[in-house]
Amino acid sequence: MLTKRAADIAVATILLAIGIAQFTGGLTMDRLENRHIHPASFPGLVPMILGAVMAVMAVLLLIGQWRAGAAAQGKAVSEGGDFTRDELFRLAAVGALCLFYALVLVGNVHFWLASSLFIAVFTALFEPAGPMTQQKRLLRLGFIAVFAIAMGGAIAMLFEQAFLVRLP
Amino acid sequence: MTDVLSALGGAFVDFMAPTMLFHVAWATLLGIFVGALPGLTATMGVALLTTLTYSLDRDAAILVLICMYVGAIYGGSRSAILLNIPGTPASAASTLDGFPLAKAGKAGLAMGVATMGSALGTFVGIILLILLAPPLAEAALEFGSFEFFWLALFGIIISGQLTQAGSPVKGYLAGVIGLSVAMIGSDGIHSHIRFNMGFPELNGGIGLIPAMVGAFGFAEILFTMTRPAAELTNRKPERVRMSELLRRAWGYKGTIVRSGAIGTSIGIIPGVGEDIGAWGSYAAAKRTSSERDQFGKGSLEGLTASETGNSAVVPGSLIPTLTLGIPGSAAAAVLIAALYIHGVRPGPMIMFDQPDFIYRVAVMLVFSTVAILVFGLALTPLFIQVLRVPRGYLMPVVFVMCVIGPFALTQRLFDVWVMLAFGLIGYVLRRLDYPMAPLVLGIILGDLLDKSLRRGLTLSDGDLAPFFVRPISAGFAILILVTVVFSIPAVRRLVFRSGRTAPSAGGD
Repeated sequence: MLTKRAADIAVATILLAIGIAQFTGGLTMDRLENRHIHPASFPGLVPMILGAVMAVMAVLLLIGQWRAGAAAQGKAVSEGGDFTRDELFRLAAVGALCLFYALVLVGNVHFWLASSLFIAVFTALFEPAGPMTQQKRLLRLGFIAVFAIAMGGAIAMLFEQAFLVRLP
Repeated sequence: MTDVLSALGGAFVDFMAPTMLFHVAWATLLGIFVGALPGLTATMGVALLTTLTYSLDRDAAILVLICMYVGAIYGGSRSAILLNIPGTPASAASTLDGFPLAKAGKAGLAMGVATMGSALGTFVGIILLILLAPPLAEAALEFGSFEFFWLALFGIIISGQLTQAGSPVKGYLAGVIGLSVAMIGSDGIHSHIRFNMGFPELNGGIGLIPAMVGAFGFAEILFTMTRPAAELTNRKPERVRMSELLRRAWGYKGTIVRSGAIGTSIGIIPGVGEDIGAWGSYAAAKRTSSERDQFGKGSLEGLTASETGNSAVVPGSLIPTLTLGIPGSAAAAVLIAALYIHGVRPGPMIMFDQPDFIYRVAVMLVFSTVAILVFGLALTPLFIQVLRVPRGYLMPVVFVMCVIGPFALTQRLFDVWVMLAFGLIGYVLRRLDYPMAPLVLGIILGDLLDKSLRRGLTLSDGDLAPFFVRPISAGFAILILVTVVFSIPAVRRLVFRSGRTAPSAGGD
């Protein structure tokens, strides 16, 4: 289990680092003096201000988390509260499958095949099915395969034929 | 006045063409399905559909997107009533009275009342759009760099303040993250490349559509798949006569007009969406209602107020979108991107560049409202079937659309990566209660804020005084200061404590 407070602290720390990096990036950005621009209009001005504001707010969040630490630790686990093990497992599985499809399959396998494969595996894994006989299980998988091929093919055809997109 | 009527009449005639009516029918129906299905939101629907409409002509494309927007906001009430889960965040307030009504065997009446409320709320908003948008556009012509800087900042601050769920710092921080994202790529004044991190694809900045599809599509899929599935109520909705619905609507006419006005006003505030409109209208109705003890237990007036309020936000949000180029809601932010794709430049010049366009949008809203009225009252059994679609079948299809949609716009796989990155970031931020509306608003307004501040400083030769002494600028600056100061818990406690003790002190 991951507590929401720990996640909040991690995100606030990352934002603090980004804020400092952005401030530094803005501060050291080219002032374009060779182009004789007005010194007040240099491109790093707003990123610098935003970086400083982001860092200050991240510090405020960290202070808030530190103060609320004791109270937050005693809280019961609820939806929207701490991350449960089941939630993290499902998140990792769904995220990994989606990333594998978008980063590996798309672009390397024909789009309709990649999409059909993705839809079939996703549905088979994540659509709950109660206890069933071997025959019913095969029927279910067959239905999922037909559904996946139909949807993958339809989306590919829609974009390729109707919108004239060269599919990846 | 004659010009307005002739523009509206001309638009009506144009949109009566069979092709346009066909677009109204399918897009509104699709919108209602999208809104009804938990896990699919109006913003996601508009973002995905934008990628499908770029080959249509301007009017047809914008018509389709507006029908999707109106349909989705309305469609959320179906799952709010039947599942006790709002199909979109806009319908969260509708669950309070909608689901108790369904449990009491009055699902048909609840859906009918929600339909009437949504339709009438949108009509109130349309009237205010026609009345307010042109003078606002004219007033905005007086705005210079100084005023636009404050306006952009005001949008971020107020959106961060009103959409946060617990900590205002997270609301403001979401806005700052959005603004920082907008700093990536070529700057708007000197074309200097900023923060491209070695990717030449980032020289043009982060594409709004991939970012939105990620933040509202992929993130929503992750959210939906990590939560328990909803169960549909088994009760079959009863049939309700039209005369009964009209009688009920007439009985709540005061609530409808007030909720419509509140919803539209909230829609005008940058980045504050339909959910706030619904809650604001619901709270106002509860304060003044004679049946306030029934609120939360199955009050038809409560349901009418929330549905009227959230639907009225749609035309309201289009007022700043069209006249200032500042979106009134997250879905309106995607509409801005779509408007640019189709050659419409929203902003103060719209009344000069395309004087009829605001009226054409008003007529588009009228057509979509009539469509939700017809579909909402006639197709109840179909919507119940749609709610039975299992998420394990629906979500992978939505994800495939999330991948191919952004790719189709630019034919770059890089935009798919952007979508994925924003999906993961969006999921983490939303899960930790960072609101998404200020983030989106930040991405949209970042360029305006950046250019306005630097142009203003150039005009004033580096002097900050004009940002504070020009009348409109000073007004915005004071408003922002008050908003930020009042968001500090210690200040709020101090003010409200002294407010409570003052009368008693006087009385003693």
